[in-house]
Amino acid sequence: MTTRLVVDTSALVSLALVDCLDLLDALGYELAVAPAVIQELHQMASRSDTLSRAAESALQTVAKFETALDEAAQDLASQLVVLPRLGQGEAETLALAAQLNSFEMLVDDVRAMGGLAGVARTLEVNIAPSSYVFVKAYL
Amino acid sequence: MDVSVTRSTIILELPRQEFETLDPQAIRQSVLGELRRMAAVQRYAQGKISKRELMTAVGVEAAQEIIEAREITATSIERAIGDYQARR
Repeated sequence: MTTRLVVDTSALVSLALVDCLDLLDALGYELAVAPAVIQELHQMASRSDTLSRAAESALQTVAKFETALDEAAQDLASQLVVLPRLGQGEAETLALAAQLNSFEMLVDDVRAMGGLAGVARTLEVNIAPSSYVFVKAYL
Repeated sequence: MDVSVTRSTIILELPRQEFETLDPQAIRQSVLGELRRMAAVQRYAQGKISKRELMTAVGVEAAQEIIEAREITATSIERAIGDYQARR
C-alpha cells in the first residue's frame, strides 16, 4: 500500500540537510504540501545560509505537490494556529492531513509535535518525524 | 538571549541594543546552559536519564515536549515495522 504523507517545513528541511529528499520520490510516496509550508520554505530560502540552501532544495522537490486547503480545512487551520507552540505551517499541514484522510503527517519540530499530538489523535492523523522515512526505506 | 548550537556554529540571538552592554559572563552561562540542555536531551533519548531528571535539566514545558516527541517517534517506528510485517 502506498504511504501517503503530508510534510511540514521542518521535516522537509531535515531531509534536505542530509541530502535525502530523493527518498520521498524513490519510495513512491504520495505527497501533499500545504500552501503555508511552501511560503515558509520561500522565506527560508531568501536568506543566505545552510538552512536557506536546504529550503531551496526542498522547494525544488515538493513545490509541485502544493495542495490547497478546502473551506473546512482552512477553518480548522485557523483554529489550530492559535494553539500554543503551533505555527501556520504545522496548523495547515495537520488540517490538510485531516482533509485528505489517511495521509500521515511528517513533522520534525519537537515543540510542535507536543502541541499537535492530542489534536492529531482526535483527527485520527498519524504523526511521525522524518526518521520515519529512513525506517521505511530500510524495511 | 537565544542560543543555538550546531556541530560547527554557536549562534547568539539578541536585540541589537543588548549587544552594546553584553556581559561576557552572561554569554558563557547561556552557551553552557544550552549545551547542558542538549546533553540532557541526548541522554534521555539514549535512556540514560529518567523523565524526572530530564524535567530538572530542561524545565517542565520543554521536557513534556521532548517526552511527547519521543513517544510519537517510537509509535511511528512501531507502525513502520507493523506495515513491513503485514507486507511479508
